[in-house]
Amino acid sequence: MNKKTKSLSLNFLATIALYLLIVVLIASGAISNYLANIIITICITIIMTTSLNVTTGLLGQLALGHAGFMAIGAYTSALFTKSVALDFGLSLPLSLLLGGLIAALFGMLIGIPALRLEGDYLAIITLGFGEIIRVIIVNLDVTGGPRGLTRITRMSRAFSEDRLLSIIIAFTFVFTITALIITSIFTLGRSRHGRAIISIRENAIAAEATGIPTTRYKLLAFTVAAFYAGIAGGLFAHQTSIIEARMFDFNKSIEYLVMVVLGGMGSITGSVISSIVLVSLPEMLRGMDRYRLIIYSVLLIMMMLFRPKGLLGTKEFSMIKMWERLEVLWARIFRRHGAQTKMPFQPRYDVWDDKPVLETHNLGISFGGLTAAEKIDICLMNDEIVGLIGPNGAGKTTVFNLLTGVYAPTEGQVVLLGNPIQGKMTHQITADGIARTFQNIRLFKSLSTLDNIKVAFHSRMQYSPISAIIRDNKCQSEERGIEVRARELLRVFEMEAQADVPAGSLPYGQQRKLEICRALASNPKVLLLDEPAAGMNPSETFELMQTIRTIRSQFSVAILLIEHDMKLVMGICERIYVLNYGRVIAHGTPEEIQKNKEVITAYLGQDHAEKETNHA
Amino acid sequence: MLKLQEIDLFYGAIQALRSISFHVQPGEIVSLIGANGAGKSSILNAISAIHPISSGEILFENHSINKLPPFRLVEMGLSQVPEGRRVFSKMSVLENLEMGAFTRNDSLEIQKDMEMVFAHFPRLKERKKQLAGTLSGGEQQMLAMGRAIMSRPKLLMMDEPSMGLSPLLVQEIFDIISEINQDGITILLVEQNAQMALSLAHRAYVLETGRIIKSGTGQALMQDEDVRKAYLGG
Amino acid sequence: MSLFLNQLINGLHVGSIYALIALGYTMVYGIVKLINFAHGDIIMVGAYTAVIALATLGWSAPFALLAAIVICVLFGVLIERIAYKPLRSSPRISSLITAIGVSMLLQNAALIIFGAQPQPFPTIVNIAPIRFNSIQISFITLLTVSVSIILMVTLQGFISSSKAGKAMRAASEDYTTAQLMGINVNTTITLTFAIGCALAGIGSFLFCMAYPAVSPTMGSLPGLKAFIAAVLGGIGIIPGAMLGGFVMGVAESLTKAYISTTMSDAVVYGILIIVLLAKPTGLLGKTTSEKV
Repeated sequence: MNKKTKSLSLNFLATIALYLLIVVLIASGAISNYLANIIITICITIIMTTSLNVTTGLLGQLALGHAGFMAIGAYTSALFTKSVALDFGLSLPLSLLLGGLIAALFGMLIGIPALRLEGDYLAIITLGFGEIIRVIIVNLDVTGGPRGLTRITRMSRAFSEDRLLSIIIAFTFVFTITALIITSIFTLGRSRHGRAIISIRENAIAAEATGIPTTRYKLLAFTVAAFYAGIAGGLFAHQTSIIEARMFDFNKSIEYLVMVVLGGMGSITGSVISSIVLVSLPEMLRGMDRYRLIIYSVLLIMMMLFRPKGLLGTKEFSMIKMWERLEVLWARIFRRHGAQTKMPFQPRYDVWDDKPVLETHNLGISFGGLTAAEKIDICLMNDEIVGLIGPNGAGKTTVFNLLTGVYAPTEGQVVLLGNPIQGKMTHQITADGIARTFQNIRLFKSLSTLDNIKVAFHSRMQYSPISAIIRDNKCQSEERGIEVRARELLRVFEMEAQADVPAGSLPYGQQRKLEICRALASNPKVLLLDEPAAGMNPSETFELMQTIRTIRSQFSVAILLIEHDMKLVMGICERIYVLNYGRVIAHGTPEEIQKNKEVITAYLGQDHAEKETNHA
Repeated sequence: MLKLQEIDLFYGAIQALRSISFHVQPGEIVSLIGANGAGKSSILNAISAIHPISSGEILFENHSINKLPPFRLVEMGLSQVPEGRRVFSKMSVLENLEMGAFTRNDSLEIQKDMEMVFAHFPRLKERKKQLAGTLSGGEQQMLAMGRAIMSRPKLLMMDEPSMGLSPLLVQEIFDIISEINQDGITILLVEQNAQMALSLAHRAYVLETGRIIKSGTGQALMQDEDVRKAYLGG
Repeated sequence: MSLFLNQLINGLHVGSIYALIALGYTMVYGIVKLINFAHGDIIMVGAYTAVIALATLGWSAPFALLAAIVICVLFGVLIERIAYKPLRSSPRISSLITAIGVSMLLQNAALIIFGAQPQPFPTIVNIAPIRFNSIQISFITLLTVSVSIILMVTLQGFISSSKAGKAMRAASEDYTTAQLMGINVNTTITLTFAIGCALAGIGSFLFCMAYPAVSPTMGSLPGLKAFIAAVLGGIGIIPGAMLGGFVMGVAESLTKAYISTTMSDAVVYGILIIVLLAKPTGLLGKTTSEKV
């Protein structure tokens, strides 16, 4: 048995051991019913906080209405078990599933505004939805109105005639669900879907440009979080046996949020730990009832002042290791037949020799009557390096935004490999074969260099969220494939050594390089570089020129680049387009452009022209 | 006028500046050149007290300024044009210039200086009611420079004024820097464009990984074999 | 018709109180990007101060008002210095959680000191309401609405043209650059909290004149509503806070009259959601899309 599997089994055994320990303690009477109930509460709280962490930690959107989903789950599930004449052992799981699904439906509904709104505004919307859910519950008859629902079957009594046995079964049930949910959040978080969600948190614009359908993933995150919160609600209803709307108000949502932040946003283990501590803390302080909440709030403030990123930050408590172990175990269970390493893609382009890979016809856009670009006709041949230059504000970046679908053109066409692509979403265009870098570098800063590249493979992978959660063959083989590919790419760029370094802490030049590397990971046919040499000195620029040439020959892409550094532009571009006031004013080889009168007056300046002639 | 003695500066555990010492004489244009991450901007941020230094001493007109908050330095005549312009985009051009004169209370003189700025940058005058965010990159650079001049600095520090500008504009900006210097303002210039910076500067220092490795007159450094190779592309 | 008008007037009355409190939220948010959850509890602090001054110490109303303002400002500034300032460079969510902590602390401290039992707020003015046929406007309503409007106009003027006001706007865009201009950012932020809390002090007084019961948790609901008003109008924008306050107040009072008392909150939140979906930065907010 190797070291990895050994520690994995240890971890797995630890969970079982914890479970057995608690069961033995309950059975022996060392843990009273009261205490057992608190443990169940802790489990429910853990489900709430880890699921909230999906929206707040992984997606990075502050959600202030999480208790609303819990309410939906609680009421749905309670009404179900009350009205259905099934054996409790069957009706409870069914009711939980139903509660989760209905909560998920609402989660999706609430996720829709998330497509338009961000940050604090979205936070307020979630607050509003949470409160609306509560108010509606108060005003409905079926929910018992303000009096709430009473006499819901108690888990701790209903499983068996024997009181003790019933509590043990209830505990087993809740513990198992909790463990499964935590594991699923982990597996999902470490899959292509999880990376997609995290990349939105890191930089939404770059995520879209690397081929992530950001809207779909925002919805997914909200839906998953709501689903689990619904399940937690169902468990809660069958634990307390009485539910009222005000149990799920704004303050409840805040309570869970506090736990998530204290544990560390983005850290699932952090959420688990803080749930345990914050549920038990008030119980421990019960002796000094009067000052309990004061102490609690002072602790909260102190904690934030001294550990503003929470207990664990975004880190997991040795979880990456534990994760790998889990993965190995999973592999052993599922990989009876041995999963293949599946490469995410083969080069998929036919030779495209004499026709342009990208061309625009009469492309233009105006913003509220102001024309930012018009009558742009550009074409790129296979494996060509073309420059796009012009004064500041001439519309160069606007052209990039038009090509990549950030802006929809108000007129004209963009044709990629013979197919019109104007009007498509950015991530679709990326999948179709145009990748780009940004003027002001947009990396997923807290992700590792390797993960930055893995995100960009998204559009080349297929496995579903369900595959991700259960880590089936398809998921594993694809993941292994992109691991190989990503490292290969890093090797080409001589960045293997930095694979595990957070992208944000790379030196500037390497960040630029990584951005290009990430763009290539989506296997583009056309690469757009926006001022790749900005902030580089001549020797770095020289190196960059080499890199660009290498890219062209190794990856067989056509490159369109915006740049002010004339040495670079004149040095590597085969053709150049000059833009001024949103129009192409000149087009030709570097030599032609340098002699063009109009270009000299608008852009290059007399000095430059003279200097270049002197050099020659 | 300005003297740095053995400055060390850390970002967390990473040491950005190692024992940096240099000085600037009144009336000079002194330039700091070097690769990305060599510590050029860190030096300016250390002088402006935006980021604290961990050891060493900074003297401005023979007063130690290590412990002074940023706003006191502006009052003393130290002004900085930050990297990436950073104009107040939701305020008008005029208001941006007023912010530059924040530490001053002599409204008549402020008015005069405003005219002086407009003389240097006629384009700003045309756009004085416009929100700064709607200006083009070149105009924003001009505004950032004008704004810094409004505090009547004795020493003006500029961080990468040519970044992202077209060759034509770069020339224009450097001409104006030279004009400002001739008006009697001492200039400390951080530049990526070593060619331009060295041809303009009286003296220059070359930085590498947080250390000063070379110094001399602009002309001398332009002739220097290593400098030519590393920063002038030939 | 008269019911409608009376409810409208009621709505304006409540709305202008929301607006006053919302100004504090909006100003603080504008400069430190913090949803100051403790702001509602500052109202509670002001209310208790006023009750003590009026009932226990027997001060006259103007002095009690002054005391409320001073104490609110003091609390606001202290909270900023102790709880928020050290977190200025931390993730924004940390200061949000700290604000929640401060809010809990204030409420529970008040609970221990004053008890849960609401205390009556003495009647200060006893002027008969003005009547036009069946419509009546109470003096307090007139006072509240006009005080709020005057304060808002003054504040707007202060921020758009005074030197300190411009410094606030500069700091709200970019701390570092504001410092390079010679602006003392710390003082500017303190000033912002002070003004916001002074307005809350006045707001608390006006609130208590309308709803004369002072309790430890009295601040949270109007606080939350005021905050929503600020978002509705476009957070960070002074006239937006005012408009948002009025819209909230009127919507709430009309729902109570015509639909259902218990549904009023849902309607208010519903309006908020619809407005934000149609105009993601609030009624008066400018849409700023990130430049790529």
